[in-house]
Amino acid sequence: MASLALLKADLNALSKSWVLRGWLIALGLTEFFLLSGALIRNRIMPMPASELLGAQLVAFLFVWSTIIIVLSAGSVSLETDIISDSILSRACTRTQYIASKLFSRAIVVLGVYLLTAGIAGFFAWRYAASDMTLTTLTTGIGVVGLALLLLVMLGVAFSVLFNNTIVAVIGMLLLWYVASPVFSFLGADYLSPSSLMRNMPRILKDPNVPQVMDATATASSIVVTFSKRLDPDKAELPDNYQLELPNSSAPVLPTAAAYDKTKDTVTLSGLKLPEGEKVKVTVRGVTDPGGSVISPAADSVTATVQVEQKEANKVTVKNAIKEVKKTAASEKVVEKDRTPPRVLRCTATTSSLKVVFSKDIDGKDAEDLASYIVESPPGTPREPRAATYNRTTRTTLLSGFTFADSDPVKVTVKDLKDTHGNMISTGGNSATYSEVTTWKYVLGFGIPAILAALLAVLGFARRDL
Amino acid sequence: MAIVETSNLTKIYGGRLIAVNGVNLRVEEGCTFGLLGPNGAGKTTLLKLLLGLQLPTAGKASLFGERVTPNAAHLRQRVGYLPTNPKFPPTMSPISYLDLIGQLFGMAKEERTPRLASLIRAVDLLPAASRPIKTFSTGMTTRLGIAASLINDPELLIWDEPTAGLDPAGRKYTLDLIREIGKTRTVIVSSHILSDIDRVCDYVGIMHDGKLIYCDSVKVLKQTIGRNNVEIEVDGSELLLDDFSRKLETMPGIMGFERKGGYLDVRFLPDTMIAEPLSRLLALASEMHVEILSISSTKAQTEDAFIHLLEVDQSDGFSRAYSSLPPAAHGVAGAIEGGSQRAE
Repeated sequence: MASLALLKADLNALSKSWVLRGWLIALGLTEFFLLSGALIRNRIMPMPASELLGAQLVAFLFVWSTIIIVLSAGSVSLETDIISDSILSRACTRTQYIASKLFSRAIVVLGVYLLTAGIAGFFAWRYAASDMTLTTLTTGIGVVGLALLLLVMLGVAFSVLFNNTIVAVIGMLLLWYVASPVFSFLGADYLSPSSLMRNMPRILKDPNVPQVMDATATASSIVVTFSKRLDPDKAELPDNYQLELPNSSAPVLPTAAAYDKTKDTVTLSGLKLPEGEKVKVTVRGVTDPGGSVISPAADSVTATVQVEQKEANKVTVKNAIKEVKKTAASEKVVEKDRTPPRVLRCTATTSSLKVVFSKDIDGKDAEDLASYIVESPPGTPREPRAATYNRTTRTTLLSGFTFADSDPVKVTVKDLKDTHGNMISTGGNSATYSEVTTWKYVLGFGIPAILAALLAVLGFARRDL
Repeated sequence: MAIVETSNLTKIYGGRLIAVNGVNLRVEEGCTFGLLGPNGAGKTTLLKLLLGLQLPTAGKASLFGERVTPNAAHLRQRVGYLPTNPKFPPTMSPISYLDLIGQLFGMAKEERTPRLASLIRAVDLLPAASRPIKTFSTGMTTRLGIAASLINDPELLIWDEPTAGLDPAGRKYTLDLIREIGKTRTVIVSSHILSDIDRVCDYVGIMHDGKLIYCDSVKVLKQTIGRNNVEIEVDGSELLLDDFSRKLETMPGIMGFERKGGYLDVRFLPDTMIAEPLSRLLALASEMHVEILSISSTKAQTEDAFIHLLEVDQSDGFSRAYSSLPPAAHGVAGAIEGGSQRAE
């Protein structure tokens, strides 16, 4: 009860603080103008959602952090003269008092932040060119929230340790704005808010670029399936699709391209293709809504022109029943493993890449360099020099690369079978490794936040009032 | 049962200032204990050590038989504390502040709301009940502090300089309240005003330079000085008073006197009852038509005793080093148990 009463009293006191009121007014106005400006600009020239949201989140780390520092670094030191007389001489513990300070500041700061980030995230998701996934969106918002939580905890700890608001605020400003580049310089990048600001677009942006996954062709049309959502304007430009037939030197151009955003497919129509022939579809200039161009390593696919549906439908009902019975019988005889293999994950160093599969792969396929499309950053193909498959760990080691330190590495596996002859799953044939991993930021900001809170509690426990 | 007990309680600030120096104190249940001493003697530090607001450098303090620590909220649950010149959250009103501390004491709303309302009325803060505390005068803040210290109906009251900043009426009401509460509760009052302690306390501890130099009943304190003094305020012409003074010089039972304007500080023979010579003095005044405006004996005696103790402590010089040894070894006692002890 005492803890709750202290928390309520502190929240009430905060609500009367002019620093908080001023911040809310400034934040509201800034957000309004920034968001409306970005949305107007977005109408003229589409803007990636990650950029729009990233700017709002970075503002919290760089600009609004000053207000957060003032709010938290004055939490205890501003009350020094009244703590013992009015609160701690009553039936409450010091731990309860500091906990109320930590929680009230965290609730206010994170509440304001999440509300702002939620609004900005909604507008970015809804109106800007989508280049985020729900995962990257929540990750970005979550990591910045964690950094702000660290700021609050450190602020309260400084307030306890220095017992002087001005000294605590100056100390915090130095730590946040000056020591941050020092952390980066020392290689402790994940303790540094400036590193988070730098990597914010990368965290928010979907690291995958579009790829051509599959195609089915009939005499009059071809349906091309893509790995992710596309920019409809570019996806529906027929000129972006080039069709090649083995016996014809002249490229075939479709007259129309229709994009289905629910299935991420483009139907190319107005074609006259010879049945049974193989047709190669090459896609150029198509991008996702965020502007990431289709991967050159996976921009084409070959499909066999099938018989039109009208012909196929001539199969009688009787024949169909016979066919089903025949299939069922054959399945009873051999209970074969039909689970397709998948790529579980990949990890990269600057010179090599390890790809881990869900099940044992055919050794010959696994060591075929042509089975792997490696991109770093996604969209820029990289050629491995050697592939070594380890059956025990179901891992292929691809070597001979020169990856940049901070660039994510994406591997896509094709035409690869397991030992039972199952072709790799189209839904699980790729993985991306990124040095900028969320968990490092979670640890980098989360552990110091816990330590700062403990420091505040312990520092206050030994203080004379 | 000892409500408060300290053992060699010492507080040294940053290795520079000795605020409390090996204090051994024992306050029994039900007594009204006055902590007396000049400014800077260490009274407030001692009280803060008793509440766990400060950490002792050495020794220990216990309340209700349990050692006090900064997190001993359950012990403070039973204590009502009034700090000297109290400071409260400036933006809160008396209602919201008393409601908050009522919650800290774990009081249910049904209990604390009527309680805080009656306390606000009792300390005469009704017209200012919803005003921010930052607009309060010193006296109003002290009155709020008094209300705050009583909200939990404590077993032990610790009031540090309760009359500081109060007007004469407020001062009188406060002392009356202490006397009233002292009938059923244990009270510790600190003050540098001797007459306040003299009026309300039955036991007294005198602090000087962080050391408890005396600890016993007020009665014993007066006996300690062994001087039967009475201050008489008289009125009359200069000639009449000179004549009255001359006659006093030869009056039996009177050792001497000092005249300061309209005041006569009369010293009676030690170790004798003063009633008889005093009645003779009054009869003489009546006979000579000298108007007696007031007769005061206790104030002067307590002041004298207090000053005498400070002087003795000072004059003890280096021998005071022995008084820092454990009480059992040298008969030094700060215990208030009805016995007569002197920190010497």
